Amino acid sequence: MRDLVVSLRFRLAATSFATAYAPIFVLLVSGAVFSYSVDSDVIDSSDQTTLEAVRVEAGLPLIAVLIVMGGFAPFAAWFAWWWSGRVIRPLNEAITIQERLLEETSHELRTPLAVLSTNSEVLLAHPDPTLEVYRQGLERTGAMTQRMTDTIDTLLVDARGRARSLNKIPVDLGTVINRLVDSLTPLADGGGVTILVDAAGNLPARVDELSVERAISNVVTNAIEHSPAGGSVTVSAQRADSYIAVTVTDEGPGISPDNHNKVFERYWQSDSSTGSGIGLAIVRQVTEAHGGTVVLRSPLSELGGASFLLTFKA
Amino acid sequence: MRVLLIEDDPDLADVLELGLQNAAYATDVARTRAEAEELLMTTAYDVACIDLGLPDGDGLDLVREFGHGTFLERPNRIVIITARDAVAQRVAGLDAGADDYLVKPFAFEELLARVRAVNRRNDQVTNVLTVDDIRVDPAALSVTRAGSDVSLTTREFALLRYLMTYPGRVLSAEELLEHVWDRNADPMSTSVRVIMSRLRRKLGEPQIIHTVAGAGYRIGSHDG
Repeated sequence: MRDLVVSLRFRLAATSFATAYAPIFVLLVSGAVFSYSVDSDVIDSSDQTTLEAVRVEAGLPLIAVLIVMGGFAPFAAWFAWWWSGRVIRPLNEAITIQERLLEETSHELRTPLAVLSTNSEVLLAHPDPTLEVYRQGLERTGAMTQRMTDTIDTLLVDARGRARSLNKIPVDLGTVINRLVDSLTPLADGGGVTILVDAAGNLPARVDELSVERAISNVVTNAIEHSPAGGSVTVSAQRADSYIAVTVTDEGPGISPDNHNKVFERYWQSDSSTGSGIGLAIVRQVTEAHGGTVVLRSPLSELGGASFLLTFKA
Repeated sequence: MRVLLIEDDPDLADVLELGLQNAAYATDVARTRAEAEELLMTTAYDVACIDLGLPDGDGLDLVREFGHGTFLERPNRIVIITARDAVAQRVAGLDAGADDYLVKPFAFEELLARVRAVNRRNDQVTNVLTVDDIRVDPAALSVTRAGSDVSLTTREFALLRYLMTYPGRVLSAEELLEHVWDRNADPMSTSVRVIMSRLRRKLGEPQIIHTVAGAGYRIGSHDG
């Protein structure tokens, strides 16, 4: 792919250089043709003298133009090269993002793939398999398949954010949040966690719906996973000036102030985390791509707790 | 053989532990570097399988630490298992002191083969262990004596394999407990004696495992 881009740059530079210097070639060629045709029309010596005078008069400025333009040729070549570099820069950036996405996808998929392949090998070679052993193996397979799906979804949203190819359209964030909470309720129920929602239905904003939903989902899922059984997660959303503010509060162990910046770094994971390590990095990226921010407050009391405030420009 | 598996992913750790146990390796699992260091302070492992991306530090630093007079017991052999696949990363892993380097995803059979290979004695040409007329094939988990199959449990197999790795050497009950049982073993139990007597019975006459009074056990018909 990179080779193609380099080849494209060469062609662009050569074409622009040739286009800029085309007038010189036209002058050279037309000058030669004119000189030949006049030579063939000479009748006597007075014609010859007139012709020489015309040549000197017409030729001097032509030579001057050629010298000046010839002198500028290296500069023009450099300019054409620089200009072609600028033109293909977005293409290079897109390729870099694609390469990084491929690298990260392969990195993120290696562990679940290792689990899947080892799982089947170990179960097939088990000297004393029981139904329980097989059941656990199948559960592992299901969990890994889900993890790989989530990883691919997450990385694709991440790549779109980095490529700034967000499709911002009018969306009601209240509806998005209520729909999201409905889909996460089974996860919360499984851990004995209650989700409380305070999001009025009418919160219009111009956002990329998929990315924003993923960002809020990452924070709410995180909150559920770190909440103790019997705890609650509160999701609230409201308009503040030209922004929509979404707050997610949990009653988990909290995050040490030393780690407040680290949680937003790619591939950073807490000891108790089982995620991909890029969930909160994506949250920051998505909010910033929407002209907003993400602010973390934790601990909220002696018992812990954390609150994430996400803002999106409406 | 006692294996320390340092892997932070719980699913991968569970399934690797199960597979290693089925292959008669006494396996302890550490999910973090801190947990691994705690185990390495007290136990001399035969093999450590180390994942590099740990939540509380880089596994490569742990490998490097073994080479710098640390208070940790250096495992006899180190196999790195990681998702880092670049040539430079493999070179760094091996240069840091690892004996082998395996990139995820890998075939479990390959991990077992590599564990067997790094444990091969200097005088061994193949992985098959032979002492007198006893032949142990660690890959096939099979034992024969004078050409006849001997059926052993996983623990008995593990004990015989360890004894045969050091033929002629006197191995104490404590050493056997440390290398054949995992961290859940009770150090005060009579497990070694019980399994040893079952193993001797199954191997039959003439006795090839000898008790050295006050010192331990030795395999082989001759003094080594």
